[in-house]
Amino acid sequence: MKRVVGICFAAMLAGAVWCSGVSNIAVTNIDFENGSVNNWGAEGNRSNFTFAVDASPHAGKYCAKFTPTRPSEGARRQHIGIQLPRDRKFSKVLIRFYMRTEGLADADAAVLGLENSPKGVVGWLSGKTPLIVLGTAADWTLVEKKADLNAAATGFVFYLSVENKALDKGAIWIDDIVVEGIPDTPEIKFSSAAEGNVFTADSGSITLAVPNADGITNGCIRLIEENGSVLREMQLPAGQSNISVELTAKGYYSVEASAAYRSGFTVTNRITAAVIGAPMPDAVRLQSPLGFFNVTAVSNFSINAGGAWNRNFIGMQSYQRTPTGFTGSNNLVIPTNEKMISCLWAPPLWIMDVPPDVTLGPWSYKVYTPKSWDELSNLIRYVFDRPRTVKYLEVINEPDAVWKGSQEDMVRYHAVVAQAVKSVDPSIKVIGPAFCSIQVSLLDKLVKLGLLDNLDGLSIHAYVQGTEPEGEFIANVIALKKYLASIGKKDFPVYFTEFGWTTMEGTWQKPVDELTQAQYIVRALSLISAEHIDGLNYFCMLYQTPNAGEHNFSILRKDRTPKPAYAAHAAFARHSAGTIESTRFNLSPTTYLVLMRKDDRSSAVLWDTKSNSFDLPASAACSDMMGRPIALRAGVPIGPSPIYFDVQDTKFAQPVIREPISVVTGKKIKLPLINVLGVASLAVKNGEIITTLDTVPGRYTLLGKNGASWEMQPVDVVSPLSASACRLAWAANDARPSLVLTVTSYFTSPVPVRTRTAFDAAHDLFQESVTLGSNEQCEIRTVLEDISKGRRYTGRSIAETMVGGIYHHSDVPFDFTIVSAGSPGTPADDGALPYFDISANDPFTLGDNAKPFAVDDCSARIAFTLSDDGLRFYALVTDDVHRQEKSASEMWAEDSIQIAFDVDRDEPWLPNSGRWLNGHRVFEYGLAKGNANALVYRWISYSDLPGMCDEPQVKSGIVREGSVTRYDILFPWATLGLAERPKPGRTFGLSVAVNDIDGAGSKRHGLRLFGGIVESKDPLKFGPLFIR
Amino acid sequence: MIIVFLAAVSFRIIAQSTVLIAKFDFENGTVDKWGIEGNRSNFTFTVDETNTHSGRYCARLTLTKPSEGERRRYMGFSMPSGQKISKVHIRFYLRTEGIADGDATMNGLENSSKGVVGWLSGNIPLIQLKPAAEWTFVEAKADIKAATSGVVLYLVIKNKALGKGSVWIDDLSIEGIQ
Repeated sequence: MKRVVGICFAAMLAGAVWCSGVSNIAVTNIDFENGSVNNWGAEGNRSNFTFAVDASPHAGKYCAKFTPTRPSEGARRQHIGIQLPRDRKFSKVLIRFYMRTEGLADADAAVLGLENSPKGVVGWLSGKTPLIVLGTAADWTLVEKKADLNAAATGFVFYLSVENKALDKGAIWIDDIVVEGIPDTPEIKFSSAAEGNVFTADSGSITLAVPNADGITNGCIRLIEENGSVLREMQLPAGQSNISVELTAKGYYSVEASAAYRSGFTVTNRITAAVIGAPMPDAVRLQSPLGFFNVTAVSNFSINAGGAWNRNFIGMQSYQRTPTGFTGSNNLVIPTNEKMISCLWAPPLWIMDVPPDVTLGPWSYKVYTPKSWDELSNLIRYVFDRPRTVKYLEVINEPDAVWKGSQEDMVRYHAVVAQAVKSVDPSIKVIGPAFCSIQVSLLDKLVKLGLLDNLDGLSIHAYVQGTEPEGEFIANVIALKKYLASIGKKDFPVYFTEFGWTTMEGTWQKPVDELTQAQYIVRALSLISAEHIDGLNYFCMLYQTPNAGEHNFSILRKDRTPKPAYAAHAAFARHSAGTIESTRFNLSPTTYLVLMRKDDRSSAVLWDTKSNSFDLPASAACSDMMGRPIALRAGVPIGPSPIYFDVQDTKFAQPVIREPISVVTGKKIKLPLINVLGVASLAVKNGEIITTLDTVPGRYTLLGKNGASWEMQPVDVVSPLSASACRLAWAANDARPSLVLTVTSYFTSPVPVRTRTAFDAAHDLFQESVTLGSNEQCEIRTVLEDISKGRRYTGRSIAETMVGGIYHHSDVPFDFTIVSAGSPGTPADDGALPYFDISANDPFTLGDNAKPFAVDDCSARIAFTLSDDGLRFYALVTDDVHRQEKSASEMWAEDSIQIAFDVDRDEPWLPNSGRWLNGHRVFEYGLAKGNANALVYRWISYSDLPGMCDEPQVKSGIVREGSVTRYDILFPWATLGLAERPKPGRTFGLSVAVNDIDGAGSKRHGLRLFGGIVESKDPLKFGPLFIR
Repeated sequence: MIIVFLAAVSFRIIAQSTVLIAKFDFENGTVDKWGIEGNRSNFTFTVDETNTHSGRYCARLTLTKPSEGERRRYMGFSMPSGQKISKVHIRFYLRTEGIADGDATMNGLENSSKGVVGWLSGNIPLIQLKPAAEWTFVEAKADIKAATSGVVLYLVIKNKALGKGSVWIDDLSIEGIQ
């Protein structure tokens, strides 16, 4: 299970997102700003916990802190009564608060709501106890829950409860508890005979219950596909309360209904459904490598979607040592209708050699070297010496993030656990190391220490940074398989026990939309199918957690209705069932074909990451990504949503693959195949491949039939000159920055290559010609002359040559701004305070088109210097109207500066590493001249520092002089997560937003230097700050 | 194999702000927008793709017979509105064949809405073009008067007697300095 990482979703939204909605009715707001919790009552023995105000709040001066001090015999609860309005017009409440935790595990704490009336207790809010199970949150995290009220309830008691009796340390903080009534509105309700509206048949039916149907004046029901296309639209019949909507074919559906009433009120609602066909026979499904990490979903959903594999955790924390052995137990009997990979959670605290200055909760995921290896071995034997059907065991979850010892001891830990398990049951397959992501270099280090000597298979998590599967995802998989082959383990079993894409912000991964999530899953599974991976646990079926980013890896919604990815996975599982062998081809640089050989036919998956078309074999039966049939015609359009087709010819998936042929762009070549099938983007006419200078270079494949056999002809279209990877560089010893262009020549003989840096709005720079040999690559470095610091430059780097009277060139766009920080007065800084103007770089007005502002309204010059004390930031903001009346956490909405840093910009991103933000320390600070004093706030901290808090260590001088606000800010290195001044030559990621508002009704507008703050919180959009 | 080529050019972070007024790399394959003064029949002005400084095309002025006066091709540029330009910086690359020192010049004429303001920097010519068998970088900075709203650059063949020879130019830019 994944851990909640140290980021607050609310913080991610600071200044980035605006929303509006129907006003709720305020009931209460508890912000602890009176500095007291005296109106809260306690349940349980007060001596085993404390509840007090604390000065590290989410907002304001205070929050409340609940601290368990020793184990308890029951749940420990602190409560406060909340009175509802007498004549309330609502039957639901929205409860919203911020929380953070330390030393607690998921589900250690909860929130309960007990309804009451003058006659006594009515019942639990929404009939549930607990109402909210709390997860872990290193930083302030927003928690929201809607709850149903009983009609008789006049109030309820809000309980903050520590449910884990054994907890004797750690803490939970809570702040800004808001309760609002949700006005009663008539609601269109949906129901169906299928759990979660997942129909395991070729059709389905959704029933709508429409309230007050007699009062409807107008309304409609729309049936919408995953891509937004409206399949069917019908009028809502007046007076009819129950209406059935028939789903007549396989697919993913969104059912949307709206009703307008005579009273002028309109209600709308929507629900999703999937029609996925009959469940696959167990004998077929269990042969598949597909599966899920179900987390909080029941297995039926996984099984119906075609999953063979599942994953769970075996907790060991509650095992205790006794004078004669151990106590504790786990259920190790696994259902027989799925293949479970069980992963050992961290061992109990008492067995680990935890440093005295480290405090861990009993459910901590961190793993330290055991005090005694023999004791660990004995414990593992005890854990497994009971009735069991566990077949696959992972030793640790994500040890590259949670292991706190040496690499040698990590390897020994795997060996000791594996040997102990096998001494009890040699049939259990012990696998590992379940790294956070595919890191071949780290794996190699551990393999050299003997990691695989005691393992039966390699398990690993295959997460990427939210990028498309044709990029780093499949490249990582190929690199892993290549590595295993290089060490003589080509056929070593490999299990991807987690991988996935989220559809919401809030965690380490950049989100994609729901349709893209579906496309990526199908494309990833298709690409992998040619790589012989034994188990593929997609993360996840459903993870019920408050963190939206974590939750939205799920392919079911919280109400268990499907996202498009669920229906897409189910269709892929059915289409790929029975595959004996898969092969992957590039029909064009952006077109992918995966052929699956089966006993009785050939199956294929086909897509293009952009758009193209392809002539399918005449006999093919074709369906879309959701399993809907597609009428076959010439030139089937293909795009990012894969299509499937079957050919009743087993030889189609076993083509003869011919030697590749090459053609240079702009040339023709004779094709040694006839009657070929290919993509539209490669022209074939009269037996010739015809390319133009615009034909995209790369690998193409053409299909042709030769008698009874199918043949594949790979065609490499090569541009004789290729420019790529234009990057900005400024090494420590270089006096000036450079633009570096990588150029490759595919000419058959040496050619002179010259480069031009063509600016859109400045004079061009040129390089002397260099001679490149055939298939030779070089980096051509253009020193950036006459560059204004802080000015944004766009244009193209062009590599070019003239050969045989033909002009060949290859262009790469660039977009850069030079910003540096050096010691004050160094030559690079051009004076003591090297101000530069950012007014024209990237102005913004929320909800409006970008346009420059008058100098007096909003303009800014900024500067950076650095010293042993820290990074100094100066700004002179000219603004005719100063307004800043917000609290520190909300300052972004008025005149202020948001400034963000990624101090590890030079380091690689390590997806899901568990360390900061994928291995990067990232901060976003706010600076403003408040009414009384300067405001300095840190919204985001991916580091060991907290987020969502004031930062008094930052030394701020912010003064208003006429129409200019002058900022002089010192960020001590510690406030950027650094121990000392960084070395010259390093680069920070940087983003600056100057916010301006000119009074009531004025839209927030301002200036930007680089992206990643205003439009979304994305460190990948930060620009470079060169450390000199 | 990775090879790194590093250009040896001078560097400075410029304190003055510059604004691009116009660039001509002739990559649109035409010189149609260039005006002509003098007798068209004794010279040609075309794009050329046999030996460019960069890209596919450059411009070539070719003398075909002696002339009775100077032969000129010119291009006008408007000053950017709302910007206080104190100087212009003209850069281009030059190559010649059959041209001697003093045969050709680059001149600049300032004008305003009320008419001609004067020669750039008060000088004529602005740049004396020297013979260049290979592509050679040429630049000049010139003061701009406050009233100036536009500049006309002239490529001028001063030597009336020249009946043959060529001048190629490429990658011409004019930037304003505030």
